[in-house]
Amino acid sequence: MLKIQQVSKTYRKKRLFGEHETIEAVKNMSFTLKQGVCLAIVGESGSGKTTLGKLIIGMEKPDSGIIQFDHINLATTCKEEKKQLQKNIQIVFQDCHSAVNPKMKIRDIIAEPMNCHLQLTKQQQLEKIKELLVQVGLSERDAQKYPHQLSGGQLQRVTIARAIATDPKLIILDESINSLDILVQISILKLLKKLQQERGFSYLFITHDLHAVSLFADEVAVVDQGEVVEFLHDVSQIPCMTHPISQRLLASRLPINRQEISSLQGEQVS
Amino acid sequence: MKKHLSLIISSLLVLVLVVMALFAPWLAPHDPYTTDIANKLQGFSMQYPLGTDHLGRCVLSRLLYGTRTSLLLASGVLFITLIISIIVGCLAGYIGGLVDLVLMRICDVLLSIPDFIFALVIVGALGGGIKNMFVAISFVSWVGFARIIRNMVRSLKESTYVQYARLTGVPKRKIIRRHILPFVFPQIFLLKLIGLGSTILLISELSFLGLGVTAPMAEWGMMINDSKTYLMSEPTLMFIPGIMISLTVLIFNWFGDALRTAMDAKI
Amino acid sequence: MLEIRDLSITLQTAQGPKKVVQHVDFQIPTGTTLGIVGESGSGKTMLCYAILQLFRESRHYGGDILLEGRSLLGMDEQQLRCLRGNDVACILQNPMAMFNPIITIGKHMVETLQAHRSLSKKQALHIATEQLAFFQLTDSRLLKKYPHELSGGMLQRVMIAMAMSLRPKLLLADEPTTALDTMTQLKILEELSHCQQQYQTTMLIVSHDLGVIARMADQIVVMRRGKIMEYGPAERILQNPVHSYTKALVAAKRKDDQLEKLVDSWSGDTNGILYELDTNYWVRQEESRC
Repeated sequence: MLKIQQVSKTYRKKRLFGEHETIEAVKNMSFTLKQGVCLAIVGESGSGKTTLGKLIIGMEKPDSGIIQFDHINLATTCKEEKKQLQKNIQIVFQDCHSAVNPKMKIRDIIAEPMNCHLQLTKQQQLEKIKELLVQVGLSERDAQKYPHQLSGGQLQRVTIARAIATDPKLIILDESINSLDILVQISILKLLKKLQQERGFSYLFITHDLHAVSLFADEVAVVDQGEVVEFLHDVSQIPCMTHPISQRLLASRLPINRQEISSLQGEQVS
Repeated sequence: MKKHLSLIISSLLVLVLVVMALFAPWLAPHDPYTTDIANKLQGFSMQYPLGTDHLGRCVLSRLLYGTRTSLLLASGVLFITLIISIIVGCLAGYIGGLVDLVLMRICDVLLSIPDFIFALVIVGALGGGIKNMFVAISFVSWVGFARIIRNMVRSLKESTYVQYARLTGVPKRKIIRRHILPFVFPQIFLLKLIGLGSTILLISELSFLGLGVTAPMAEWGMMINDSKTYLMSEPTLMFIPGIMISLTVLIFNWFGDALRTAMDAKI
Repeated sequence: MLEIRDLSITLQTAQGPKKVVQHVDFQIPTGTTLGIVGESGSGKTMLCYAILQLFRESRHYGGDILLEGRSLLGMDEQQLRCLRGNDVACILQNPMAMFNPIITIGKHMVETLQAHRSLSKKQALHIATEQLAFFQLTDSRLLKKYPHELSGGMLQRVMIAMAMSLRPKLLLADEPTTALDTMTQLKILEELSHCQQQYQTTMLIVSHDLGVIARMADQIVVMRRGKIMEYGPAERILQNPVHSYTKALVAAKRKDDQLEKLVDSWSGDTNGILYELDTNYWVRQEESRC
């Protein structure tokens, strides 16, 4: 469904004096993502995972390589195809508070993408919004509220409702649970899993949290300095990763089991 | 209650001015245009509370009608410049690129000329009269605000929810209407209210030079101009409109300031 | 070193007084680390501000906070100013927001040092360089850089270096690693441990991440809605949590559980009394769940 082929993106930092600094954010990345699968992209900041998310959602254009979604090139200029891409690829951002217009009611926030892609009457739209709110675990009455009246977890559910409103095929989760409390994170992950089982979404889960990945994802791609250094088709294989970067990620987890902590401390010292 | 004392008092004073302007025909004891040479240059009396001018016209009536002129003109300028600066600011800020460059350079050039001089030049070119003065002041006033709006729009454009709207395919005009204008409008309206005092001053300045309103219309600046010759013999003829101008500008400045403080507190 | 005695904090809000911390008691022996774990709204950040006695005007305090036997609530502004930075230092969540963007790192450090010790600029700079070297920040150009030129992780390490430069007796760390990557997180925690070993600093670490607390703490306090749910030795709480809320938090971090089985919310009763399960081990009583 999603095919990344030899994609590269370089940023040029302009300086007033002296040379321009070039940063190769993404270097010849290639991988595929099938329908209904959740692929986690794991890496530290600066690894290129955020840039990859931006390239797939269309915020940035790759300097070389091809990104194909359902055989449509992301760089297409055809209006019909562009609309298809906009409808089928959605994103849930990291900070739910800045991801919504604070002056808009919840129902208008969710209706926004629907107005672009679905031809529904006012009544049908309202019905669908109510359905979506219930599906993401909120109440119908929340449609009338404003963002500041909801908690972080509830607001993130609203952005998820907005993302699934157009019945997309791929949802990019850009560090979407980082800023939430631990139990709330679990509830959001459960919700996303349920939606995947019911509606068959694919997820691109961009994160640096390996624990969340092992609970939620199906496949994992470890990125470092713009390249995919290791790719796992089975998330249960995470403890057996072999690449030095993967192993460093494993070693920097913070377990709560005392024996694990001491054994990890031993590893870290060496 | 205590916190908003400033706002309450200044709003009341603004209300007084507005009432004076709206109900001038009923409040004024005499017709401001009727001349009565026999009674010219009279001091304060029961019949003429603030005396008469060199043509025997009632000063108080002319003062009240002057309020009308100033406030009406200033409001008109506010309305027109609001529209123009929002259009220019949004275009420059949202579209960016060449459009932004051209529009902002035009603003830079216009801003480099002092307001008063520029208005003077325009009125000089178009000729005097109330309509041309209105055009001149409007032309001069929109520029600074356009720049402010453009900067606001640029930073709003970077907000996550605007990015989302663009990525999802929401058309530009809808984005500007729903995501940009609701934030730009209150701020800019406030700024303009604060600037109302300066506009009134500009109106009086031009009228003082005889380039604004024409006789026999009542306007404070023109009243000062008319009474130049009588400075020594009847100084009140000059002072009264002068004080009125100062008070009005002060009241509007105070009101704008208090409003801004109250709105900041809410944020 | 630090004793919190029956502390209650009430905030004056537009809607009336709000109790954000209720009757909290705990002690931190010298040279040890206490970790407070709780979600947003638990009152943990309020506690940090209370120890630093910031925002005194808008808060009302009940109970007492004792630092080495001296009551902090009874001190005046002058005494507190001497205390802050010198005896009690803090590092807070967002490192970028803690620095003045138009002042270099070097100037920040010199300013901090000169505020509490009579040092010449040269002496202060020398101490600053030594301090940074201790935390393996050996780049000589670092002192001349501006905050925005450094990454979040680097800035946090500089903050720790600055905080420790005055050798405080107590270090407060409020969500010190939340905005950072896993590898940087680890580095920061290692440096904090290093500090403690070297200087016997007493530490209070506040976090919503149990993993961070598990790494650093000797004792743990679990808070929920301004009250303590469980308070005791770290090892025991992590191995065998007693209160159901602690159990939920611990389960969320266990490796072998499946997503479906994890608890995703907790709405239990917080009104039970706190009873002493063992010496220095307190648990809040819950209604029995059948």
